[in-house]
Amino acid sequence: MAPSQLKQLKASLREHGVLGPQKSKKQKKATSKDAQKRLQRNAALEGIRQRFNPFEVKAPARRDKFEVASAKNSKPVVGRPGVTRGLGEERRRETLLKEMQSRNKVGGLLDRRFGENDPTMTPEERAAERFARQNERKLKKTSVFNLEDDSEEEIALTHGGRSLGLGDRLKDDFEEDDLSSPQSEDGDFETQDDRPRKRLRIEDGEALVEGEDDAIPERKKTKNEVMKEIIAKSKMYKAERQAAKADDDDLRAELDKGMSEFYEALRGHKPPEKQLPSPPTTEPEPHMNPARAAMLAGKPREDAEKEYEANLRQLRLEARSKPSVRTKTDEEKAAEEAARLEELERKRIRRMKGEAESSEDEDEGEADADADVVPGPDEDFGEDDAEAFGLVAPAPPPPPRKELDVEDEDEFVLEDDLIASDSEAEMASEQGLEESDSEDESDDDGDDDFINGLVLPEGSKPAAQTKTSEKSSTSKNLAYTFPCPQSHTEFLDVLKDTKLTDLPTIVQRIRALYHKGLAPGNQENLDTFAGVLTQQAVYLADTERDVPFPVLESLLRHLHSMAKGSSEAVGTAFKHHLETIADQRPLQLSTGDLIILTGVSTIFPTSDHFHTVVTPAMLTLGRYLGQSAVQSLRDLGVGAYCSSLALQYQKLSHRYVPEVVTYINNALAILSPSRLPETDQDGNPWSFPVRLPTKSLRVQPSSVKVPEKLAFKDLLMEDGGEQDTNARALALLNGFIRLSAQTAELWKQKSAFPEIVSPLIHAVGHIASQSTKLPKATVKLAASTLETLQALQKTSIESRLPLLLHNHRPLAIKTSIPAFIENYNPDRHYDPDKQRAEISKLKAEYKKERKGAMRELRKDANFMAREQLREKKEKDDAYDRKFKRLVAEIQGEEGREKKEYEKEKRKRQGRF
Amino acid sequence: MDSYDSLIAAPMTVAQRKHLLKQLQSPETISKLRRPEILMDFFTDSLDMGDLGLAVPALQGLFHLITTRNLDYPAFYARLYALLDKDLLHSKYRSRVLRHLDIFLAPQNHLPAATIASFIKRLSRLCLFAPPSAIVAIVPFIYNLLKTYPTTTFMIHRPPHPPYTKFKHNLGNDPFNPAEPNPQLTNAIDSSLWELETLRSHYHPTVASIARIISEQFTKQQYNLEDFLDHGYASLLESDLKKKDKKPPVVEYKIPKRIFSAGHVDVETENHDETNTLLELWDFGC
Repeated sequence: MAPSQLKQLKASLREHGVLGPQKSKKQKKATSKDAQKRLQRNAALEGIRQRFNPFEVKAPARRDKFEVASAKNSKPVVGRPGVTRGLGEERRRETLLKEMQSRNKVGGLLDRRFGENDPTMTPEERAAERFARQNERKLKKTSVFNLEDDSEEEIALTHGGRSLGLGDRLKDDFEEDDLSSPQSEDGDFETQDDRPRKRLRIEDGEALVEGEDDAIPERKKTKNEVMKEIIAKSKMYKAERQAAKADDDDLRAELDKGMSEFYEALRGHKPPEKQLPSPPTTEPEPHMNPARAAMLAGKPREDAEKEYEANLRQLRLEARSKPSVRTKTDEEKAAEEAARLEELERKRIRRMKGEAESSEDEDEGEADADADVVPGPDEDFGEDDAEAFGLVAPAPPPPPRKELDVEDEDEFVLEDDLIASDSEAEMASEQGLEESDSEDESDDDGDDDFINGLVLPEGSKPAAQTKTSEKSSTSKNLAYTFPCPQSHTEFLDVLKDTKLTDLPTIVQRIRALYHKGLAPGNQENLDTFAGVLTQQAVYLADTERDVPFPVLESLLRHLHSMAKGSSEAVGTAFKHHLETIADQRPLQLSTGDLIILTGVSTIFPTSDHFHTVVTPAMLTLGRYLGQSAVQSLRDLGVGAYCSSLALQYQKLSHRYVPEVVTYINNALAILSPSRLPETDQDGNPWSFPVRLPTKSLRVQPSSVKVPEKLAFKDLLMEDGGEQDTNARALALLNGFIRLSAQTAELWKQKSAFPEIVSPLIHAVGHIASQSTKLPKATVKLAASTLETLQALQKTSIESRLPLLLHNHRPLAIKTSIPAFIENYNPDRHYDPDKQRAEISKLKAEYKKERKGAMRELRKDANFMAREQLREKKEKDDAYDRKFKRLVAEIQGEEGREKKEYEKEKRKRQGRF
Repeated sequence: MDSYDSLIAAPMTVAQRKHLLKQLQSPETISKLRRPEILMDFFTDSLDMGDLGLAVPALQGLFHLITTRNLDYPAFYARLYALLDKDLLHSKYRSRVLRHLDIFLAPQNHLPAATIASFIKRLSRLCLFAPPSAIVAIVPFIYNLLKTYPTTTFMIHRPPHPPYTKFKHNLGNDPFNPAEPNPQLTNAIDSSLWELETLRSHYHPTVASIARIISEQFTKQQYNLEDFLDHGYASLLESDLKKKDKKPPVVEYKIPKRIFSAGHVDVETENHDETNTLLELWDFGC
């Protein structure tokens, strides 16, 4: 930092010779008389004034017109050229002049400042050391009375009102003095150095004396003092308390005095006289309310109240003891169950609508849902529009997947105390059989019991079932432990020597034995086992001609219960089977495939918008119904079962399956005793092709009695002898007629229902008209179905209205938020190209710097020239003075000599 | 080149005709002929034979002749309309016919809205009984038609009162006459596309969501038809099975007591609220 203005002024005054060593009166007079010098002095003074006038301002020629509006006010309004110039000059004198003077000179100053070139010292240490040195130097001040010097340097650091370094120094001095120079005590003032020390010592002594009486705040209190203070304070508080208490007592006494009157007023008769004078009894224990006590303890009332409030709140928040979970009443249980079912139904409906299952899933599902369900038609989905709908096989966007609500399962397990420790499970598995014996008909509990079987042996239910189906009990010699089969062949090995009816028991035992809680790898084993079980179900249905359905049923239910634990594994198993169907026999479904598809319908929620298992399964059904070519009655049976399954799948969601309608129509056309006319009664053509088999399967006129229901085994599992072909065909015809009724019932809400049902009406009506060729029961059934269909169609037509699909709010024109530039300046050029902008910014900066540097250089050159001129002048002056002095000297000498000569001459002349 | 002259005049079997048509259908071959007009009758005859396999290539050739040779074929659109019969969506010619339709019904041909409406209605009626792959292609096609011919959008949005409808009551009756061969006279323009509305609840989620574009706002200019053709059960099934599961599949909460046996148990516990259509119809012998 440049020195202060005053110092600068002084320096420049001295430099110009205005200020200088004191001059005698004669000299002053001489200078004042010398006009030349006075002129010079005045000029110099003017220059200095101009240079140092801090108030010299350079205002812009024209003021800003609208200074409020103009955005850039970065520049100061007025410049102070005098100040800046002075500063520049000063700086130059410090740097440039020094350089100039030391030019062409060898040697120079050695920087002897302490620690300047010592890298081991930190700047702090350096500063501290320098400060110490400086103080030392200061103490060696040449003159005590030199006030000017003193005033400048007396910037000492202080702490707590006492200077920092000085105290120690003083002490040191003191001791030093004591030890080294006893003679100074005797008033020996030989050296100058002693003087300040002494003076300081005296000062110090005085300070010490003063410290006794008025330096209390600075001084550290002694222990004694502190104790005294505390005692005094406590006494004061005590007195205050007593005073307050006395106040209280007074108040109380006063109140007591009024008491009798109060009683009187209350009772309405005069109190006994003696009560009046009774002195106010002081309470044995003075009782104060906490707020008052706190107040007396020195806290202000607000604080005390705050604290009280806080305490109160805390108390309120404190956990109270709660009763343990109590046994719920039946009603409560029922209500809970109802609530749970309601929740499940709510979730199912959400899934049906294709929404995410819960709000948490929503975010995640949203992106998928966007892609899958509502493809924003506006956006360009890359190059493939169909891909937006997930139509392309390679990498379609997966739709929102639903989370399995495992917690339900857990809930179950917890509810029924079913988390078994290892030993329990072991025990349980052994208990299995006894239990199954005892609980024979306990299968009313339905799935609860079945899930118990997850951990407990499942003997209770499946074993009981096998029993009910065939009374011969499970083989007594059935093994209790089985290896967990990891492939279907292994499983067949396990089952080699067992009866088919024992299968559920075996499966149940395996599941109990390899329960996931029992060993770390069990879950994986069971997952694989789930796949094996599906294979087994297919295998059984495909190979065994008279497989008992309860066995298949229990297998499926086992799979279901396993799916609750690890849905992924079971889902994968089913998907794998569906893949096999798709690859090998999409149009020739086997019995096992049908069993699996039935299993899908019970295990997985078929109403979901998308389900990884159900959707492919449904597609498999649709594919069969849509594309298979009917060649035999079995094909028709499979078709009937598939249609039935498809309807079962859509039972809740009522989704439309076009293939079912076409298939039923085709089947009716195939089975009808006579050819179905190509156009319906109104002459309208069919909307779908009818494919008749190569070999006619038409029902022949006969009077066979057929059961009301279609027999799965008869129709699907046997290839059928010739003898009952007609009966089977008739049964199928009945079945399809019923199916058409079911179909109509399922989709009666559809807006296109009249169109959907019209081919069915046509076909069923045709069959109803064949009274001569068909048994009465069938014709009756067809007629009643026809009636229903027509009634449904009629109501549907009556109730439907033209479509109103586009009640959308008009779309707003797309807008985008304009990109505003903060503090926009129309003068500035905003380059959108960032790189170019940066470059131009750099260029401008360079230009500015260059200009500045040039200006500085120019000024430097000016300064140097000025200095050189000054130096030259000084040199010339010095030379001139010297010359004059010499001339004068010589002249004087000559004159003197001349005088001497003259004198001598005169003397001689006089003498002569 | 005029060897075709005698070829097309000679009597031939269907297979021969098909082969010949295959050779002759492309515009390049036709333009190479010195007198392409001689093919006119051949194409017309092929188109009239009612076989899709013949009609499709004949149609293409005919269209080329109409556009380049100024052939006057008065009932072309009626013929085209007749092509959209019950077999179309189930046949392998579906994609090709759709591609042709896309060209024939293009706005450059300045067709009356009634004709377009007939095509739309006929297609959507066929869709009602079509396999998913056909629906997937037809719906974007209809979307494009609706978008290019805004007059036809009354078929998806019609306030149910007289300025918009012909009658005050009985609005559920479909005015469309499917038996009418002339697309100009089918009254399809007064009808509504209930069929497509129903398809919004198609069992397959992809199909359903594609069908839903009809009821969304028509913000997309055109769907690229080519992307929607050539799908099938197999590709749909494959894409469904290949879908990566992020979450395990949901499992039905309740394990049913009976799957194959319509048990007495159900009757007892009286939670037989939903009818089991499977068990109503089938007897599993247990």
